[in-house]
Amino acid sequence: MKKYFLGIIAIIMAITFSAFTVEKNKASTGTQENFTYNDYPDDTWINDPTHYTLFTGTLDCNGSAHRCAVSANDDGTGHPVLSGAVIFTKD
Amino acid sequence: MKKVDRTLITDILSALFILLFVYTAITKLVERESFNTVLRQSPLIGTASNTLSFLLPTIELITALLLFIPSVRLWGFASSFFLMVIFTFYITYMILFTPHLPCSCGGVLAYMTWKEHLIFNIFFTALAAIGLRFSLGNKLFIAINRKS
Repeated sequence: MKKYFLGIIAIIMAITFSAFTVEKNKASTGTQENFTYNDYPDDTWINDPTHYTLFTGTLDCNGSAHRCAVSANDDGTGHPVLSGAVIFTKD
Repeated sequence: MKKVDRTLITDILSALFILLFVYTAITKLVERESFNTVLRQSPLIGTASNTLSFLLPTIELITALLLFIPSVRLWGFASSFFLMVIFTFYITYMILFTPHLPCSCGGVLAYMTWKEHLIFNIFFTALAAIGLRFSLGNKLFIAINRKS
């Protein structure tokens, strides 16, 4: 039993940490979708979900300067839940 | 180095890798859709993202299991080293060719920049190599002691 002690502690810690991380990132409802940012390259409204449009297909975000799109859960009104969203940027 | 020291070091290293792999595997599986979406954007993975988003955390959990059982820990360290080398090559490729894409890592590791992640991975690759070396050493030590 002694030789498994550190391993058991590690597993408990991993489960505890992941529980907190997943809870933090968990969005309200819906599935993961891509949303393009309507005001590119103006980053003023990046935190406003109404400035994003649902997009199907491959995102054309190549670069790192400005917000281009996000991959996030749909909040139920066709806009993204921005907390925990995956962010894509473009030059 | 004494056998006790080696055993303690391999115990600590294996616990560290168990923590890393179980944590990232759980977050990847729970947030599988998000993980899959990011993988799909990667030019190296693309269409294989669906399979990989399930396969990768499964391999990580199997590696953690191998590290947990002392008799097969050597294989666990070998698998850890192999995984870390692959991840390091993948990150190097991403830094060189597509640095604009987000990291497809699990949990808080996704908040690291690509360069921070590369340093993190090189560090853990070195730890896996040390674990592998010491596990091999322990096996040899036990074998020699049995003969004498």
